[in-house]
Amino acid sequence: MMMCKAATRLMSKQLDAPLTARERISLRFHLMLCSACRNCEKQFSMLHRVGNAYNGTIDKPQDGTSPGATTDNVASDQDLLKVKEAMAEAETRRQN
Amino acid sequence: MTQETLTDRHKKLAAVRPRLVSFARMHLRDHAAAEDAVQEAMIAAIEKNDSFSGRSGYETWVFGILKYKLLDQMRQQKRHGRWEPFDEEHSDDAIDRMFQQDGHWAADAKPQAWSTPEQAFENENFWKVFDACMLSLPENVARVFSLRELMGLSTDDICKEVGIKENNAWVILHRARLKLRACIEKGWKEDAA
Repeated sequence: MMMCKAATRLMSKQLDAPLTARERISLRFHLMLCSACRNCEKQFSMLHRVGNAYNGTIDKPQDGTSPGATTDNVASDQDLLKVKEAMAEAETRRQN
Repeated sequence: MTQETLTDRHKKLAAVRPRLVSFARMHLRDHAAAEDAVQEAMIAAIEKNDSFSGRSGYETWVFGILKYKLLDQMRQQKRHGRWEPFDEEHSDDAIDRMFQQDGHWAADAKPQAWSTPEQAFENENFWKVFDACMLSLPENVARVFSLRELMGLSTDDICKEVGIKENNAWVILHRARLKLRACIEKGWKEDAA
């Protein structure tokens, strides 16, 4: 019977490629019996969604504490300044 | 396009900028380089403003531009030889310590249940811990994880980008996930204590 280490390998692989039927069955069977691996699987799939949390495709309040956002989501002076710089640079490039 | 909506969009761009920087920093592991990449992406977003179709959200669109810039930068580094060859690690002590000889979890490494894993993304502390854990990964491991989970490339594409075999990509991702999981769990416990 498959052990935890091998189970975590399949949990990881299934996020990147389809498992074979045999791999799928042995993973399901292991997960039924092992709560530590069930926790692990949840955490792997959460890490798998981390990219979506960044680019706003995940359902989230638009005002919140998503990655690196300031608490009130009002752009800081520095951020506005950087956008103005980018606008000036875009204008310069357009003219050249 | 009226001047009014243009201004709104620029405000939106400024508001999303901290997240762009943190995304780029996580991928590049260098704050100054991340700032530069984001600035380039913002210039491109302003230049291409009219081509934003509105089908995707504006943020998603801007993130797409940033991802493109980051990949492009990586390819250029490769072309100019400023690219560290990928060394394939054969065994990994940190991973070995997580498991017993027979493949069961070591007693002190068993994954615990995380309370409300779905809300973690809205928790500022989660991102602090995640950021620190990403930095604690070996550079190559972090790069592959980032290409897969932050940039959303398939393992097939990652292999083409960094020149490794798919099997190797799976090994690296497996290690990255095990290490990140353990690191985040530890970080959260310390946070709560």
